Amino acid sequence: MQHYDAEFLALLDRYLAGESSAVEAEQVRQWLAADSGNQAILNDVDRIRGVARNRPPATRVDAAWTRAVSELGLDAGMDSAHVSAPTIQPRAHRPAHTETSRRTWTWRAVAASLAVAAVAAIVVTTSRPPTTQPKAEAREFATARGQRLNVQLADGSKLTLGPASRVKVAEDFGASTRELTLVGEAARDLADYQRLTSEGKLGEAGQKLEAEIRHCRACHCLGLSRQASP
Amino acid sequence: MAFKPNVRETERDSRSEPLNRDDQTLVRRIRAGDVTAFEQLYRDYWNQLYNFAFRYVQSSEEAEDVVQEVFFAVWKGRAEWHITSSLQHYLFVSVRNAAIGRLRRDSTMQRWRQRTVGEDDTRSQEATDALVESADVNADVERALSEMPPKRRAVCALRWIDGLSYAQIAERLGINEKTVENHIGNGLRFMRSRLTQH
Repeated sequence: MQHYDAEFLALLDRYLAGESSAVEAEQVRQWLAADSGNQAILNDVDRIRGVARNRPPATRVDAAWTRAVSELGLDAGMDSAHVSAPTIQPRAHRPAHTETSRRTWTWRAVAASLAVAAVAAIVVTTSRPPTTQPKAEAREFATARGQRLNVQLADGSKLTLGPASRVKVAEDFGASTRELTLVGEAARDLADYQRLTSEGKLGEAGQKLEAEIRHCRACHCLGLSRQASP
Repeated sequence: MAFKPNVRETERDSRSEPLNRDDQTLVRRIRAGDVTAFEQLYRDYWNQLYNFAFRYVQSSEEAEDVVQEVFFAVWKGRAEWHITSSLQHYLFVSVRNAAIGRLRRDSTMQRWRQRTVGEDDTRSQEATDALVESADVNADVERALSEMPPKRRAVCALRWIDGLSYAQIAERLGINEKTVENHIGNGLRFMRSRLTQH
Protein backbone atom coordinates (compact mmCIF):
# COMPACT_ATOMS: atom_id res chain seq x y z
CA MET A 1 0.00 0.00 0.00
CA GLN A 2 1.27 3.42 -0.87
CA HIS A 3 1.56 5.68 2.18
CA TYR A 4 0.57 9.29 2.03
CA ASP A 5 1.03 11.54 4.98
CA ALA A 6 -1.85 13.08 6.88
CA GLU A 7 -1.30 16.47 5.32
CA PHE A 8 -1.76 15.18 1.79
CA LEU A 9 -4.82 13.10 2.63
CA ALA A 10 -6.35 16.14 4.30
CA LEU A 11 -5.66 18.06 1.10
CA LEU A 12 -7.63 15.41 -0.85
CA ASP A 13 -10.41 15.75 1.72
CA ARG A 14 -10.59 19.51 1.15
CA TYR A 15 -10.37 19.02 -2.62
CA LEU A 16 -13.37 16.69 -2.59
CA ALA A 17 -15.29 19.13 -0.39
CA GLY A 18 -14.54 21.94 -2.86
CA GLU A 19 -12.63 23.81 -0.17
CA SER A 20 -9.14 23.71 -1.61
CA SER A 21 -7.48 26.84 -2.95
CA ALA A 22 -6.78 27.21 -6.66
CA VAL A 23 -3.14 26.30 -6.07
CA GLU A 24 -4.07 23.22 -4.04
CA ALA A 25 -6.64 22.11 -6.61
CA GLU A 26 -4.05 22.39 -9.35
CA GLN A 27 -1.63 20.36 -7.22
CA VAL A 28 -4.23 17.58 -6.92
CA ARG A 29 -5.02 17.66 -10.64
CA GLN A 30 -1.33 17.33 -11.48
CA TRP A 31 -1.01 14.44 -9.03
CA LEU A 32 -4.00 12.71 -10.64
CA ALA A 33 -2.54 13.21 -14.11
CA ALA A 34 0.86 11.87 -13.06
CA ASP A 35 -0.34 8.33 -12.36
CA SER A 36 -3.56 6.62 -13.37
CA GLY A 37 -3.52 4.71 -10.06
CA ASN A 38 -3.87 7.93 -8.10
CA GLN A 39 -7.52 8.20 -9.06
CA ALA A 40 -8.16 5.06 -6.99
CA ILE A 41 -6.70 6.76 -3.92
CA LEU A 42 -8.93 9.77 -4.43
CA ASN A 43 -11.86 7.36 -4.83
CA ASP A 44 -10.94 5.71 -1.51
CA VAL A 45 -11.03 9.05 0.26
CA ASP A 46 -14.32 9.88 -1.42
CA ARG A 47 -15.80 6.56 -0.33
CA ILE A 48 -14.66 7.03 3.28
CA ARG A 49 -16.19 10.49 3.34
CA GLY A 50 -19.40 9.09 1.87
CA VAL A 51 -19.71 6.25 4.38
CA ALA A 52 -19.01 8.61 7.28
CA ARG A 53 -21.47 11.21 5.99
CA ASN A 54 -24.37 8.88 5.32
CA ARG A 55 -25.20 7.77 8.80
CA PRO A 56 -27.59 4.92 9.48
CA PRO A 57 -30.91 5.99 10.98
CA ALA A 58 -30.69 6.48 14.73
CA THR A 59 -31.31 3.50 16.96
CA ARG A 60 -32.42 3.43 20.57
CA VAL A 61 -30.53 1.10 22.82
CA ASP A 62 -33.11 1.42 25.61
CA ALA A 63 -35.90 0.18 23.35
CA ALA A 64 -33.70 -2.61 22.03
CA TRP A 65 -32.72 -3.66 25.54
CA THR A 66 -36.37 -3.68 26.63
CA ARG A 67 -37.11 -6.00 23.74
CA ALA A 68 -34.17 -8.22 24.66
CA VAL A 69 -35.30 -8.37 28.29
CA SER A 70 -38.77 -9.35 27.17
CA GLU A 71 -37.78 -11.92 24.55
CA LEU A 72 -35.07 -13.53 26.64
CA GLY A 73 -37.20 -13.48 29.77
CA LEU A 74 -34.50 -11.63 31.67
CA ASP A 75 -36.94 -9.76 33.89
CA ALA A 76 -38.51 -12.95 35.19
CA GLY A 77 -35.38 -14.99 35.16
CA MET A 78 -33.14 -12.61 37.08
CA ASP A 79 -31.44 -14.48 39.84
CA SER A 80 -30.38 -12.09 42.56
CA ALA A 81 -27.32 -14.21 43.16
CA HIS A 82 -26.23 -13.42 39.64
CA VAL A 83 -26.84 -9.73 39.79
CA SER A 84 -23.60 -8.26 40.93
CA ALA A 85 -23.41 -5.30 43.21
CA PRO A 86 -23.27 -2.09 41.21
CA THR A 87 -19.80 -0.71 40.85
CA ILE A 88 -21.19 2.79 40.43
CA GLN A 89 -20.76 4.37 43.81
CA PRO A 90 -21.95 7.90 44.42
CA ARG A 91 -19.85 9.27 47.24
CA ALA A 92 -21.97 11.82 48.98
CA HIS A 93 -21.32 13.92 52.06
CA ARG A 94 -17.61 14.31 51.53
CA PRO A 95 -15.95 17.27 53.20
CA ALA A 96 -15.85 20.44 51.17
CA HIS A 97 -12.72 20.59 49.07
CA THR A 98 -10.33 23.43 49.47
CA GLU A 99 -9.07 25.27 46.41
CA THR A 100 -5.72 23.49 46.78
CA SER A 101 -7.25 20.04 46.94
CA ARG A 102 -9.47 20.84 43.97
CA ARG A 103 -6.42 21.83 41.98
CA THR A 104 -4.68 18.63 43.02
CA TRP A 105 -7.66 16.59 41.94
CA THR A 106 -7.77 18.32 38.60
CA TRP A 107 -4.02 17.92 38.18
CA ARG A 108 -4.39 14.21 38.78
CA ALA A 109 -7.16 14.10 36.23
CA VAL A 110 -4.99 15.85 33.69
CA ALA A 111 -2.15 13.46 34.43
CA ALA A 112 -4.51 10.57 33.89
CA SER A 113 -5.63 12.05 30.60
CA LEU A 114 -2.05 12.18 29.42
CA ALA A 115 -1.52 8.58 30.42
CA VAL A 116 -4.67 7.36 28.74
CA ALA A 117 -5.27 8.95 25.37
CA ALA A 118 -9.00 8.44 25.48
CA VAL A 119 -9.43 10.40 28.70
CA ALA A 120 -10.13 14.09 28.74
CA ALA A 121 -9.94 16.25 31.81
CA ILE A 122 -12.34 19.09 31.69
CA VAL A 123 -13.43 21.77 34.08
CA VAL A 124 -16.61 23.70 33.40
CA THR A 125 -16.85 27.15 34.77
CA THR A 126 -19.70 29.38 33.83
CA SER A 127 -20.03 33.12 33.89
CA ARG A 128 -21.68 33.21 37.32
CA PRO A 129 -19.84 35.78 39.44
CA PRO A 130 -17.70 34.51 42.32
CA THR A 131 -19.56 33.98 45.53
CA THR A 132 -18.39 34.40 49.07
CA GLN A 133 -20.54 31.54 50.27
CA PRO A 134 -18.70 28.43 51.44
CA LYS A 135 -18.36 25.72 48.82
CA ALA A 136 -21.04 23.07 48.83
CA GLU A 137 -20.13 19.48 49.37
CA ALA A 138 -19.13 17.61 46.28
CA ARG A 139 -20.47 14.33 45.05
CA GLU A 140 -18.51 12.02 42.85
CA PHE A 141 -19.90 9.46 40.45
CA ALA A 142 -17.85 6.88 38.60
CA THR A 143 -18.51 4.20 36.06
CA ALA A 144 -16.53 1.10 35.29
CA ARG A 145 -15.65 0.01 31.79
CA GLY A 146 -18.79 -0.85 29.88
CA GLN A 147 -21.08 1.05 32.21
CA ARG A 148 -23.13 4.18 31.79
CA LEU A 149 -24.84 6.19 34.44
CA ASN A 150 -27.53 8.84 34.35
CA VAL A 151 -26.79 11.50 36.93
CA GLN A 152 -29.54 13.88 37.99
CA LEU A 153 -27.94 17.20 38.90
CA ALA A 154 -29.30 19.49 41.58
CA ASP A 155 -30.43 22.07 39.05
CA GLY A 156 -32.73 19.52 37.46
CA SER A 157 -30.56 18.80 34.43
CA LYS A 158 -29.25 15.38 33.56
CA LEU A 159 -25.84 14.12 32.62
CA THR A 160 -25.07 10.72 31.18
CA LEU A 161 -21.69 9.47 32.29
CA GLY A 162 -19.94 7.28 29.73
CA PRO A 163 -17.94 4.13 30.40
CA ALA A 164 -14.82 4.36 32.55
CA SER A 165 -15.51 7.95 33.48
CA ARG A 166 -16.07 9.97 36.60
CA VAL A 167 -17.58 13.28 37.40
CA LYS A 168 -17.36 15.43 40.50
CA VAL A 169 -20.16 17.88 41.03
CA ALA A 170 -21.29 20.12 43.87
CA GLU A 171 -24.35 18.92 45.74
CA ASP A 172 -26.03 22.27 45.16
CA PHE A 173 -24.98 22.45 41.50
CA GLY A 174 -26.77 25.39 39.95
CA ALA A 175 -27.16 27.34 43.21
CA SER A 176 -23.81 28.50 44.59
CA THR A 177 -21.75 27.04 41.79
CA ARG A 178 -21.97 25.56 38.32
CA GLU A 179 -18.60 23.92 38.53
CA LEU A 180 -18.23 20.36 37.38
CA THR A 181 -15.12 18.26 36.90
CA LEU A 182 -15.24 15.44 34.38
CA VAL A 183 -12.70 12.79 33.55
CA GLY A 184 -13.72 10.66 30.60
CA GLU A 185 -16.89 10.98 28.58
CA ALA A 186 -20.26 12.40 29.37
CA ALA A 187 -23.25 13.73 27.52
CA ARG A 188 -25.47 16.56 28.65
CA ASP A 189 -29.09 16.48 27.69
CA LEU A 190 -29.54 18.75 24.70
CA ALA A 191 -32.67 20.33 26.16
CA ASP A 192 -30.75 21.22 29.33
CA TYR A 193 -27.99 22.78 27.28
CA GLN A 194 -30.43 24.88 25.25
CA ARG A 195 -32.28 25.97 28.38
CA LEU A 196 -29.11 26.95 30.21
CA THR A 197 -27.85 28.86 27.19
CA SER A 198 -31.14 30.70 26.71
CA GLU A 199 -31.19 31.61 30.40
CA GLY A 200 -27.67 32.96 30.09
CA LYS A 201 -26.36 30.53 32.67
CA LEU A 202 -23.54 29.27 30.53
CA GLY A 203 -20.53 31.46 29.95
CA GLU A 204 -18.33 31.18 26.88
CA ALA A 205 -16.15 28.50 28.47
CA GLY A 206 -19.21 26.56 29.54
CA GLN A 207 -20.73 26.66 26.06
CA LYS A 208 -17.51 25.52 24.45
CA LEU A 209 -17.16 22.66 26.88
CA GLU A 210 -20.80 21.68 26.59
CA ALA A 211 -20.29 21.43 22.83
CA GLU A 212 -17.28 19.24 23.42
CA ILE A 213 -19.11 17.02 25.88
CA ARG A 214 -21.97 16.56 23.48
CA HIS A 215 -19.55 15.67 20.75
CA CYS A 216 -17.89 13.15 23.03
CA ARG A 217 -21.22 11.43 22.99
CA ALA A 218 -21.48 11.94 19.27
CA CYS A 219 -18.09 10.53 18.64
CA HIS A 220 -18.76 7.50 20.79
CA CYS A 221 -21.43 6.60 18.31
CA LEU A 222 -21.42 8.62 15.14
CA GLY A 223 -25.00 7.57 14.51
CA LEU A 224 -26.16 9.74 17.36
CA SER A 225 -24.41 12.83 16.17
CA ARG A 226 -27.26 14.32 14.21
CA GLN A 227 -29.63 13.74 17.07
CA ALA A 228 -27.31 15.26 19.59
CA SER A 229 -26.23 18.31 17.64
CA PRO A 230 -28.33 21.45 17.69
CA MET B 1 5.77 13.02 1.02
CA ALA B 2 7.05 11.42 4.20
CA PHE B 3 5.10 8.95 6.25
CA LYS B 4 4.54 10.60 9.62
CA PRO B 5 2.82 8.41 12.18
CA ASN B 6 0.95 10.25 14.90
CA VAL B 7 2.45 9.08 18.16
CA ARG B 8 0.03 10.90 20.45
CA GLU B 9 -3.13 9.09 19.46
CA THR B 10 -3.19 5.74 17.76
CA GLU B 11 -6.13 3.83 16.40
CA ARG B 12 -7.02 0.52 17.90
CA ASP B 13 -7.29 -2.50 15.72
CA SER B 14 -9.39 -4.91 17.73
CA ARG B 15 -8.83 -7.63 15.12
CA SER B 16 -5.36 -8.33 16.43
CA GLU B 17 -6.03 -7.84 20.12
CA PRO B 18 -6.34 -10.78 22.51
CA LEU B 19 -9.07 -11.04 25.12
CA ASN B 20 -8.01 -8.59 27.82
CA ARG B 21 -8.57 -8.99 31.54
CA ASP B 22 -11.67 -6.76 31.71
CA ASP B 23 -13.27 -8.69 28.87
CA GLN B 24 -12.35 -11.99 30.49
CA THR B 25 -14.14 -10.89 33.64
CA LEU B 26 -17.18 -9.76 31.68
CA VAL B 27 -17.33 -13.02 29.74
CA ARG B 28 -16.96 -15.04 32.94
CA ARG B 29 -19.80 -13.13 34.58
CA ILE B 30 -22.05 -13.60 31.56
CA ARG B 31 -21.25 -17.29 31.45
CA ALA B 32 -22.33 -17.46 35.08
CA GLY B 33 -25.68 -15.91 34.13
CA ASP B 34 -25.03 -12.38 35.39
CA VAL B 35 -27.73 -10.27 33.71
CA THR B 36 -26.03 -7.02 34.77
CA ALA B 37 -22.87 -8.04 32.95
CA PHE B 38 -24.89 -8.96 29.87
CA GLU B 39 -26.61 -5.57 29.97
CA GLN B 40 -23.23 -3.86 30.19
CA LEU B 41 -22.04 -5.72 27.12
CA TYR B 42 -25.28 -4.99 25.31
CA ARG B 43 -25.35 -1.27 26.03
CA ASP B 44 -21.66 -0.79 25.38
CA TYR B 45 -21.71 -2.33 21.92
CA TRP B 46 -25.26 -1.89 20.68
CA ASN B 47 -24.76 1.35 18.73
CA GLN B 48 -21.54 0.47 16.98
CA LEU B 49 -22.77 -3.02 16.08
CA TYR B 50 -26.03 -1.60 14.78
CA ASN B 51 -24.18 0.90 12.58
CA PHE B 52 -21.92 -1.90 11.37
CA ALA B 53 -24.84 -4.23 10.59
CA PHE B 54 -26.67 -1.46 8.76
CA ARG B 55 -23.85 -1.30 6.21
CA TYR B 56 -24.76 -4.84 5.18
CA VAL B 57 -28.54 -4.98 5.34
CA GLN B 58 -29.34 -1.31 4.58
CA SER B 59 -32.42 -1.41 6.77
CA SER B 60 -32.80 -0.10 10.28
CA GLU B 61 -35.16 -2.86 11.36
CA GLU B 62 -33.03 -5.61 9.85
CA ALA B 63 -29.84 -4.17 11.35
CA GLU B 64 -31.47 -4.20 14.78
CA ASP B 65 -32.64 -7.77 14.19
CA VAL B 66 -29.16 -8.86 13.20
CA VAL B 67 -27.59 -7.38 16.34
CA GLN B 68 -30.35 -8.79 18.54
CA GLU B 69 -29.76 -12.18 16.94
CA VAL B 70 -26.09 -12.04 17.95
CA PHE B 71 -26.80 -10.91 21.51
CA PHE B 72 -29.57 -13.49 21.88
CA ALA B 73 -27.16 -16.19 20.73
CA VAL B 74 -24.57 -15.01 23.25
CA TRP B 75 -27.06 -15.15 26.11
CA LYS B 76 -28.70 -18.41 25.12
CA GLY B 77 -25.36 -20.10 24.55
CA ARG B 78 -23.57 -18.41 27.45
CA ALA B 79 -22.78 -21.66 29.25
CA GLU B 80 -20.64 -22.78 26.32
CA TRP B 81 -19.34 -19.35 25.41
CA HIS B 82 -15.61 -19.42 24.74
CA ILE B 83 -13.75 -16.67 22.93
CA THR B 84 -10.05 -16.12 22.41
CA SER B 85 -9.93 -12.89 20.40
CA SER B 86 -10.94 -9.49 21.76
CA LEU B 87 -14.59 -9.23 22.73
CA GLN B 88 -15.07 -6.40 20.26
CA HIS B 89 -13.62 -8.44 17.43
CA TYR B 90 -15.76 -11.42 18.35
CA LEU B 91 -18.93 -9.31 18.26
CA PHE B 92 -18.08 -7.60 14.97
CA VAL B 93 -17.34 -10.92 13.31
CA SER B 94 -20.54 -12.43 14.69
CA VAL B 95 -22.60 -9.52 13.37
CA ARG B 96 -20.89 -9.75 9.99
CA ASN B 97 -21.63 -13.45 9.73
CA ALA B 98 -25.25 -12.94 10.77
CA ALA B 99 -25.71 -10.07 8.31
CA ILE B 100 -24.10 -11.90 5.41
CA GLY B 101 -26.11 -14.99 6.24
CA ARG B 102 -29.22 -12.89 5.97
CA LEU B 103 -28.12 -11.40 2.64
CA ARG B 104 -27.35 -14.83 1.23
CA ARG B 105 -30.65 -16.26 2.45
CA ASP B 106 -32.47 -13.44 0.69
CA SER B 107 -30.35 -14.08 -2.37
CA THR B 108 -31.12 -17.80 -2.25
CA MET B 109 -34.82 -17.09 -2.17
CA GLN B 110 -34.41 -14.75 -5.09
CA ARG B 111 -32.53 -17.44 -7.05
CA TRP B 112 -35.30 -19.91 -6.39
CA ARG B 113 -37.76 -17.45 -7.82
CA GLN B 114 -35.53 -16.86 -10.83
CA ARG B 115 -35.14 -20.58 -11.47
CA THR B 116 -38.84 -20.99 -11.70
CA VAL B 117 -38.86 -18.59 -14.65
CA GLY B 118 -35.66 -20.07 -16.16
CA GLU B 119 -33.18 -17.24 -15.54
CA ASP B 120 -29.43 -17.73 -15.21
CA ASP B 121 -28.66 -18.01 -11.51
CA THR B 122 -24.87 -17.82 -11.95
CA ARG B 123 -25.23 -14.14 -12.65
CA SER B 124 -27.35 -13.80 -9.53
CA GLN B 125 -24.66 -15.51 -7.45
CA GLU B 126 -22.03 -13.13 -8.82
CA ALA B 127 -24.24 -10.18 -8.02
CA THR B 128 -24.61 -11.39 -4.44
CA ASP B 129 -20.86 -11.82 -4.08
CA ALA B 130 -20.30 -8.31 -5.37
CA LEU B 131 -22.93 -6.98 -2.99
CA VAL B 132 -21.28 -8.69 -0.02
CA GLU B 133 -17.84 -7.45 -1.05
CA SER B 134 -19.05 -3.88 -1.34
CA ALA B 135 -20.87 -4.13 1.99
CA ASP B 136 -17.71 -5.53 3.60
CA VAL B 137 -15.77 -2.46 2.51
CA ASN B 138 -18.35 -0.01 3.84
CA ALA B 139 -18.72 -2.00 7.05
CA ASP B 140 -14.97 -1.95 7.59
CA VAL B 141 -14.95 1.83 7.19
CA GLU B 142 -17.75 1.97 9.75
CA ARG B 143 -15.79 -0.24 12.13
CA ALA B 144 -12.63 1.79 11.62
CA LEU B 145 -14.61 4.92 12.50
CA SER B 146 -15.67 3.34 15.78
CA GLU B 147 -12.09 2.34 16.60
CA MET B 148 -10.60 5.78 16.18
CA PRO B 149 -9.49 7.62 19.32
CA PRO B 150 -12.35 9.70 20.78
CA LYS B 151 -10.89 13.10 19.95
CA ARG B 152 -10.19 12.12 16.34
CA ARG B 153 -13.64 10.61 16.01
CA ALA B 154 -15.13 13.86 17.27
CA VAL B 155 -13.15 15.88 14.71
CA CYS B 156 -14.11 13.52 11.87
CA ALA B 157 -17.76 13.62 12.92
CA LEU B 158 -17.76 17.41 12.84
CA ARG B 159 -16.10 17.34 9.45
CA TRP B 160 -18.02 14.66 7.60
CA ILE B 161 -21.35 14.51 9.41
CA ASP B 162 -21.86 18.12 10.40
CA GLY B 163 -19.99 19.40 7.33
CA LEU B 164 -17.89 21.96 9.22
CA SER B 165 -14.74 23.48 7.74
CA TYR B 166 -11.37 22.97 9.43
CA ALA B 167 -11.55 26.53 10.78
CA GLN B 168 -15.03 25.97 12.23
CA ILE B 169 -13.96 22.71 13.88
CA ALA B 170 -10.88 24.40 15.32
CA GLU B 171 -13.02 27.17 16.77
CA ARG B 172 -15.64 24.77 18.13
CA LEU B 173 -13.13 22.55 19.88
CA GLY B 174 -10.61 25.21 20.82
CA ILE B 175 -7.74 23.63 18.91
CA ASN B 176 -5.73 24.96 16.00
CA GLU B 177 -6.43 24.21 12.35
CA LYS B 178 -3.24 22.24 11.93
CA THR B 179 -4.39 19.84 14.63
CA VAL B 180 -7.72 19.46 12.85
CA GLU B 181 -5.87 18.73 9.62
CA ASN B 182 -3.73 16.10 11.37
CA HIS B 183 -6.78 14.40 12.84
CA ILE B 184 -8.58 14.29 9.48
CA GLY B 185 -5.49 13.15 7.59
CA ASN B 186 -4.56 10.46 10.11
CA GLY B 187 -8.16 9.31 10.27
CA LEU B 188 -8.24 8.95 6.48
CA ARG B 189 -4.92 7.12 6.50
CA PHE B 190 -6.18 4.61 9.08
CA MET B 191 -9.45 4.01 7.25
CA ARG B 192 -7.69 3.69 3.91
CA SER B 193 -5.50 0.99 5.37
CA ARG B 194 -8.69 -0.95 6.05
CA LEU B 195 -9.98 -0.41 2.51
CA THR B 196 -6.81 -1.68 0.92
CA GLN B 197 -7.12 -5.01 2.73
CA HIS B 198 -9.97 -5.92 0.38
